[in-house]
Amino acid sequence: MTQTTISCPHCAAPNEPGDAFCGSCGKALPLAKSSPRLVDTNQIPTSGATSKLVSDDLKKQTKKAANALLAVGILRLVLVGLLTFGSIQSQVPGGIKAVPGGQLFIIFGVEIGMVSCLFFALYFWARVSPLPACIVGLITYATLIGINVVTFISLAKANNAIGSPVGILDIVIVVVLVNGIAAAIKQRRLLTAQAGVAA
Amino acid sequence: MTEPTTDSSSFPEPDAAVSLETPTRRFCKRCGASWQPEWPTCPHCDRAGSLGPVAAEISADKVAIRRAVILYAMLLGVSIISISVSLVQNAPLGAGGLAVESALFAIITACFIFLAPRQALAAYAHTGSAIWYLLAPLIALGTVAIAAGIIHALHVYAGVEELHYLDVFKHYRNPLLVGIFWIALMPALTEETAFRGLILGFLRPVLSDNEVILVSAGMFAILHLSPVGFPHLFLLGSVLAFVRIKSRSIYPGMLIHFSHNLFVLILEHSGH
Repeated sequence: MTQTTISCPHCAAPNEPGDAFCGSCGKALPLAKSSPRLVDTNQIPTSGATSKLVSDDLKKQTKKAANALLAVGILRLVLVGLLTFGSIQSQVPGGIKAVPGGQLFIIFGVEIGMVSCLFFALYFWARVSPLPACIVGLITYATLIGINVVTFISLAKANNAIGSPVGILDIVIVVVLVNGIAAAIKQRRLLTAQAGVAA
Repeated sequence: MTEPTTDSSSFPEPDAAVSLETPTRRFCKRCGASWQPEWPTCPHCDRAGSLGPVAAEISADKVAIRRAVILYAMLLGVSIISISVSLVQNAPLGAGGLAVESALFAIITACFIFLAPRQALAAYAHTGSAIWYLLAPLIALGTVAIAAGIIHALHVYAGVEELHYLDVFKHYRNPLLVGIFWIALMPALTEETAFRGLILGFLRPVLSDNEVILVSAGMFAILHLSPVGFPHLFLLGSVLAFVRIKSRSIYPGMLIHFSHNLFVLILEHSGH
């Protein structure tokens, strides 16, 4: 008879060759690639392999959430830098020098310096606790979009309209941040689960 | 935690196919989620059937954060509209504009109270210890002193204009009283309900206490859209969130907020 089952290394129960987790004890079989789905924190099967998978997943989700913030910081730095450079160069009607009081320049300056720095700071916070950092990131970005709308209105009033106040990049960044929050929520639950297992 | 107890001696059956389907199966072989023998398929892999407790916790977290962010975004919308209006008319909002702003703020907050009465009413159910009410004016004095210090320092060293709140009420017979109503009383009621009542209530199950204080204070400070005011508003927001959590009531925070704004107005009125 050909071998149609593999036995679990932890409890020796028979499993099918493609299985990732033992049906009997729930511990990771050699094929498992991710940590077991969390259904009940009291029901996490523990073995060396499973707890390594959980801690790997924990690191992965933390990294995913933190990287979302890092990506936003870099994106803003690059894009706003390019925009500022471009509008100084071309001296378009909406360019910085055309705006009375250099209001736009201040806003761009704030965006280049403070916002990118803020997102880099949030990145380091997120590596420790991703969820609050990602929430702060999202609300800050939402506020930035709001400030852009106000700038747009004040420029439109001065007949210096420069395109739309909300760009595709803003939408992309919001999606990135929302995904970061989703990863951070999962990270937090994995952390609770891991603490529950350790206790 | 259930440590698996199945040992190899319980699988002596000659036919492996039978033992695979025996009720000893307690975990999904594909995703590792726990399994009830009576389930025909794993509800977690197939995304059918009821969610397990942790999956439900995760979706509850998502709902809570979504609510907090949406409430924040709507309040931000009100802030942006009022700033835009004042930009277009080249003057700060007068009493009429402030009334509309407060009304919008209150309507949005009321909608969210209706949506999630549990979080909102939890803050109103407790009155908190009397000591907080005695401390409230003292705390407000402290925050006002720090705020005045920060703004004065910004004025002296960075040339930032100092904030004037009573100018828009100049044409009233008693600018201070009108100012107290629109700038001290209304924000104390609406902002406290929105930030320390709802947003803090939404985020509290999701974050630790310290994180909630930081995040809600950040939201409170950013929403005012005033770079000059940010440092002292962040401080005030942290203090209010701290008092809200420690006193388990929203009223001491309202009193601190009211006293803080009141002292600022009195200072301005008396010419300091």
